[in-house]
Amino acid sequence: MIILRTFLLFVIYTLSLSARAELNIEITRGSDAALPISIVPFANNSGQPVPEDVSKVVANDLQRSGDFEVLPTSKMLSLPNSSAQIHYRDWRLLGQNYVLVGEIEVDSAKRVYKVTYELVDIYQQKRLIGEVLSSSGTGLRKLAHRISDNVYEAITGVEGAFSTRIAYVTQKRLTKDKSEYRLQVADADGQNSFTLFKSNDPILSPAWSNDAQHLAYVSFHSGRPAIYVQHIKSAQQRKVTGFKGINSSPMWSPDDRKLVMTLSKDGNAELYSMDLATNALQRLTNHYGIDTEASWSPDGRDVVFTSNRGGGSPQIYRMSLSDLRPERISFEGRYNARPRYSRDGKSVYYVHQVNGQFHIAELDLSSLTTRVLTSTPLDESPSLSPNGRMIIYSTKLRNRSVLAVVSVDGGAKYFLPSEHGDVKEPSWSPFLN
Amino acid sequence: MKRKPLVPDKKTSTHRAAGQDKHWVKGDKRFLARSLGLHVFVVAVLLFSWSFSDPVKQKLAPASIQARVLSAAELEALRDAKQKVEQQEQRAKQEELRKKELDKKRRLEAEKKRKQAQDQKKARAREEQARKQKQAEAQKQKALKRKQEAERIALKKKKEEQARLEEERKAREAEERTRREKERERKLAERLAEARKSEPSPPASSAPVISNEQLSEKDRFAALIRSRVESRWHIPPKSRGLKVVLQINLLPSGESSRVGILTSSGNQAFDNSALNAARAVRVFPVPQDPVLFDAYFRKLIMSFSPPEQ
Repeated sequence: MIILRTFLLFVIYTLSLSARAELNIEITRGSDAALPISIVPFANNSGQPVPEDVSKVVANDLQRSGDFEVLPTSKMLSLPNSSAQIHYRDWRLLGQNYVLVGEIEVDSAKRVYKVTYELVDIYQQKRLIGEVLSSSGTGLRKLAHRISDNVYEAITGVEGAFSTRIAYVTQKRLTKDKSEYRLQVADADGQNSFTLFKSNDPILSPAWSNDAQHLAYVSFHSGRPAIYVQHIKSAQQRKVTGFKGINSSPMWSPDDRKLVMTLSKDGNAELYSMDLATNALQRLTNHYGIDTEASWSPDGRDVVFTSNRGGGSPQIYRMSLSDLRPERISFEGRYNARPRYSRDGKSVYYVHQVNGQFHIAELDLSSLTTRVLTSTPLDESPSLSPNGRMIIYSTKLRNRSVLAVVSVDGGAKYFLPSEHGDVKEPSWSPFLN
Repeated sequence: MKRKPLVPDKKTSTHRAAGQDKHWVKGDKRFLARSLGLHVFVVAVLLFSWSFSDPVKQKLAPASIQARVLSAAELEALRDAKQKVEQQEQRAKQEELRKKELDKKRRLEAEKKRKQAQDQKKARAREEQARKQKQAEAQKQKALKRKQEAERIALKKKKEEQARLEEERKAREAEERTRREKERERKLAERLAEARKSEPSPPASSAPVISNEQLSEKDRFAALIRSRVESRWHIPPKSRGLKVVLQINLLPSGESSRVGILTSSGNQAFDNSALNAARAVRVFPVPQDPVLFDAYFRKLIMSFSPPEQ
């Protein structure tokens, strides 16, 4: 009897354990839709017109990133200026996850605008960030980009790249045989552009130093190609190489002490590394094929480059700088060129030919699989944003070269405006601070 | 009166030639007569030649030509008369032409007027038709508007009715929910009491036994919950390899009473994305079976980790 009772108790206990087991649900997939956010127009309490629509600049920044879907102002049920004025239920009904509110005041004596903003998480009903920033009238656009950066980072955990810059080359045809080339620098949204260097001869391959202070590029203004390094702020230019033959594709090492480049001074286009302090050159490749367009890995240990050493068509190779033994890493398609390392060094972005058209693609370095990101037919010169979320590249639009930006997941895409004819060879700066 | 021919025939002439000398000397009278005859002949020739230009007269002319001697005045008068006749004929012709022109003009005018009248008639008919059409269209529009208005009112009424029915339905459901809730609690209490009665041992043993049917229901609701949360989860960029575990306390109505982090991923943005996904679900799909709900759904454990690729 005792044995039977003990057995029954054991059975009931076991069953009760199973019945009380907590249900564990694993969520491994997410929504493909962009994150809903509302940027409420900032209240102008300055009593005078504000030279820049700060909240609009923020809304445009976030919308262009492709990670956010900004609610049009016309659909908002109320226009609060502070977190205290937010009715959470209204914003939940509108399906909004986050709301940005703010107001602008002016200190007339100091001629300074004071911008107060708060980012609110609607579902958690809490303020994620709140800050007061000051700026002159001309600096309000920069201030707006900074707010965009802060909002982006608070929500995604990834640093925003809205306050960064881009460099690119414009070509304006003056006569049938004469063009004007300009090396331009602009804000990441294409605004506030200025000319760093101007020439009637081609300018190619601008590359930002990692401290964002210098640009290296190729210019033909001395009569033949030469590599120059120019200080952005002072515009001081230094000729780095001017060897006979090819001098092309300069790219900075992660510590900015060296430049990797393509030279044909020894007879064939090979990769070299130059120490910028001593001008000492180190030959990195030695092959009868063409080796060019090198990009340094973020850890500085390897380079990826374009070469036709495998038999005619250009392919991508990776080479460790310790043993200088290149290995081919692109195998899909007959044309793969202009590789650029991702910021985390896990993938490479490059120009990939599919069905006779040239697209920007991502090559995953662990699986060596290719993912095509763009759909325009003549895409070239990809350059990655410093937060690794966007790629700028040049493409053809109505027979003109223009700059386009695509998110690394291929979701968002937009074109940048241009004032000076054809626009090519874009290069995205590192973070500026 | 039969006239002597102006031109003698050949025989007569030959005969005269034979006795010419005798006759010429006989006197001037005969010479004058011959001269007159010659004049007459010339006039006759002239008249003859004129008569060719008038086919009517030529037709009427006799086969044999008769001549009459005319004086110069008569000839002049004849010429005048002839000119007059010609002029009259010309005038008559012109008159006739003018009349013809006039007739033609009148005909054309009449035709034009007739056409104008016809066109005007047609235009009036068209205008009339257009007016009728417009009227018909206006009537149609009015009818349509009336119909739309009627439909709008009907729709409004229908919506109001639907809203009323919805309200009633909700009220009934709320009532039903309360009733079920009470019933469930009562049953649960009964079961617990029965369990206690049958086995007065540790509290754990009082838990109800879950059947296979209930287990499949559990899986069904778990899948529904997973789907609902996944559709609201916006995975932040660069979150590969991160994992956050939440605990969600649910009410029998499906609403969450508490959402909290059991194990953080170490990345605040990632943790927030999971919290927001869980909180964005207003009502979780839960089984109505109180035993099943209590056993599995009152407290949910939910882990969030993005896909590897």
